Amino acid sequence: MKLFLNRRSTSAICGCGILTATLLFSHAGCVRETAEVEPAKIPKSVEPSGNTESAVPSNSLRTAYFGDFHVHTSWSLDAYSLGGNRDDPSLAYRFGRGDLVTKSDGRDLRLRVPLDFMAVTDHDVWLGEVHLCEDVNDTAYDTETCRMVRANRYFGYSEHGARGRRPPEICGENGFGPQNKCYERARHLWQQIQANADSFYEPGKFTTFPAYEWTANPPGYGHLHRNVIFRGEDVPEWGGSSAEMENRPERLWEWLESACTGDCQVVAIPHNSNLSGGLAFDEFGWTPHTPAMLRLRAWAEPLVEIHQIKGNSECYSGLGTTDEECGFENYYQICRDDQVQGCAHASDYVRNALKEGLRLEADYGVNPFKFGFIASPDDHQSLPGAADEDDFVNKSVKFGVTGRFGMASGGEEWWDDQPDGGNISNPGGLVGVWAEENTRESIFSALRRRETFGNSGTRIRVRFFSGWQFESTLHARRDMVEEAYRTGVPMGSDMLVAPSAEDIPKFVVWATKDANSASLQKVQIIKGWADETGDTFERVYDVVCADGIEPDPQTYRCADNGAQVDLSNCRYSGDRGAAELSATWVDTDFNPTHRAFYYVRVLENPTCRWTSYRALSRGLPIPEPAVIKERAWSSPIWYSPVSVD
Amino acid sequence: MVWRRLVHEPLTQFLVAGVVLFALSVWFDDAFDRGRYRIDVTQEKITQLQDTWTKQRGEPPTEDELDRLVEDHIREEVLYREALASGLDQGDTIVRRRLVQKVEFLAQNLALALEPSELELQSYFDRHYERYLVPDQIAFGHVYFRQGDDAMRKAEDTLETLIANHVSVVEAVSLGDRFMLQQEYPLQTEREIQDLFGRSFVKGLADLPLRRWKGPIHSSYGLHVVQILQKVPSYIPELSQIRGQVLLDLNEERLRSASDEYYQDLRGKFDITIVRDEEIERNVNGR
Repeated sequence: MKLFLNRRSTSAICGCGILTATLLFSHAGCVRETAEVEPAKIPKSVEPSGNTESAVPSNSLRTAYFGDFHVHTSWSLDAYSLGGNRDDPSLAYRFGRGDLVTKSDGRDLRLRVPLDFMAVTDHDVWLGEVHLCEDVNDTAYDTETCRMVRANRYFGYSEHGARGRRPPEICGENGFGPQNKCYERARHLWQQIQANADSFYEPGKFTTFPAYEWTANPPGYGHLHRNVIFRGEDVPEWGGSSAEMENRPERLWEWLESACTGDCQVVAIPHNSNLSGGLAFDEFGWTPHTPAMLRLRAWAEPLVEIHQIKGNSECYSGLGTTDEECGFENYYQICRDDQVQGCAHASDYVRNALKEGLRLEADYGVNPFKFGFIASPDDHQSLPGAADEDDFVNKSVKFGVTGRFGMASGGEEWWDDQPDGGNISNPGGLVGVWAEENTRESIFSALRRRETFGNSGTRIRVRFFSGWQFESTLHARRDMVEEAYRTGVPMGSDMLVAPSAEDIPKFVVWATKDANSASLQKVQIIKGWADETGDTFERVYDVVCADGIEPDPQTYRCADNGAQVDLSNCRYSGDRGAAELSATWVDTDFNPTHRAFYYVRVLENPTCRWTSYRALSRGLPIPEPAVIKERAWSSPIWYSPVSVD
Repeated sequence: MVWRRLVHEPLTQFLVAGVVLFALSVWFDDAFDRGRYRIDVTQEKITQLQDTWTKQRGEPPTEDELDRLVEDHIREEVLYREALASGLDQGDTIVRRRLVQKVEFLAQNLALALEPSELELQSYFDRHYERYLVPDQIAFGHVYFRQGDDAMRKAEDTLETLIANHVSVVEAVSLGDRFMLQQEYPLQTEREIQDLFGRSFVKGLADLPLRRWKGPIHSSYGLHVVQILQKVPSYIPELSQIRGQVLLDLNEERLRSASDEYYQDLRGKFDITIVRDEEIERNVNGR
């Protein structure tokens, strides 16, 4: 294949408009001179490779599909310059759909179980900059900053992104316009992001969404990051990054509302609220709550990412809860005194936000924190869906993940130097959706109605419905799902209006294990409520446990089932736990005047944490905690009293 | 006669050639200098400056701005020419590297500028067909029995009934226990089945005959009475069926290999000699 500068192909090239250079190839008789060079180094969009004519399988009772809504590639500054990642979004899509891929560091990798759907979420801040730094035709290329970026030694978020400014030596001036080269470049890349998502979409098989991560870090606080996911049809022009939006989430919501119209559909999914410095679900210091703003927020953000590499955000023992299962993959320590950053606040956690939402609903008539749940890894090595404990080191860490950022290049020696700091990361989880079919339309509808669940990496499936008329043995019926859809509502919904004031709500839950992981230990329902004065409460109920163990009526807990892990080889006991658990549960503590939410948490028997697998493979002592309980969280179901005024 | 001898005299020939060369060089120098100190700003160039401005700013330049654009262009040209004339482009590592990168970049852009021909696509597919191999696939239906003391007995009874009454897979969906996953699966690979049902189920399915109720076999969830509906042995699809995917792969390969092929092509035109002196190398290495 001779592609360049033989006479025949050159004459064709001379006539081609996109080729540009200030070079003179005199022997080819072709001179080109313009200032613009196409920055694209990725293949152009092609038609979906799936046969769109064949029917897409559909299931009216909905199927659980698993995906990843949070992965970074070489287009993200931190992945590029801290992680040394040079693999672009197309490798991420290939890995996600199950291809054997060769990373640019030479590793051949394949995802254990291919994903059903995904979105690549590169950082908006520094999106244009990283590309400019790789563009030899741009004046930015030779700047000191760009040299540092290419040498994997630069991380400019704190200097620039966090303060809402661009590096002037790369971008020129700030603002939403052509004087800002980085904005212009990002505008161009936004088209490429859409083309990439379109080209890997195979309806019925592998669904992809155009997306990016809105990466606000207001100075003095922590992360206010959100993944912005579009349905795919009709996507607005680039609206500027969080830097142009001055790190204010309101600007994002306002832009989405004004720009995403017609057939456009979008969700913004906050994540790492655990790193928000207390700001994620608190009133922003710069904008007080107003009903209009809370309504806009509720529209833009129906989901929250509850679990990922940089820790769990469900709850934290000692911060608004005494739940003993809240000590799971906590990332930070609780804040001391007036410490703000780098520590855990009560207002960082999703369960507390759900309670706060009930209170706000009473005050403002709208609940801005009516969140369905997802989880994702937030990998920075272009490797989506790799959430297994036993090869976390191979996939993400080795080249590697640091405790703090989840991506710095360190290598095995780096880990050995970390007393425990390196071990606070975890492999993250996956998004589950209940959808009729594996298509953009169907999955996006599931996101919008919050019929979603998150897990910590194993493919637990969980069904959860509420209804007023459910019979007490509904969970045992063969047609449970049909009946529950017919007479109740699924996870993510508001409860139907009670037929009478005396009725109490019933719930039916059904969970099955991952076919290739440990058995289930128990299923819990977590209830939160607000009384008439606005005080909020929570309670955790074990509703069904494996091995015939019944919950204690005082503590609502089952005794431990005694499942063990052999720490000499990480084998777990096969004689305890259940392949599936189901129950019909009645909230006998129900008070019809209290706003409330209910969600399910499914717990597996204990298995080795990734640090144990790593220690075993390297002959090191196993650090604590040696085992974890993998888990899944259903989206909540909400109850609101019927207003009487 | 003298004239003729003079013409054949090597010295004369040498002198004449010298005069001609001198005259030529004067003429060329003159022409070169005229070009060297001449800048023509054509209307074409001005239009291009205007277009670039308009593209970047969204509106055309004013009269003043255009004047400044032209002046800037002239300034750049003057200094650039002086730099070249002074040989500043020689021996400058950054300039060398920039030029090298530009050539590579162009090679990559060129690689993608032309859509690959049908022939190239076919040839790529022929070289990499094993990458598109579809593994063995099985379509099946099953009836599930959840773990429990009587699961085996119920499964065996059901199997007998299914066989005796010639029950089809479609008719069997209401039998057995409720199942979280599907009761009938279209063609699936072994890997997909293992992801869904676990390893023991895949083992159990192996070697089962077509279109007969068999089992019960174990999965991670319990027991299953199964009927295999279709078996498709591993095959290579037609190019037309997976054209989009192959095109994507080919374009990626072209991108990767473009600058390398271009380089190898060019390298072939050079005579390259490497002179090594082991003693000097040893001294440099300090060993």
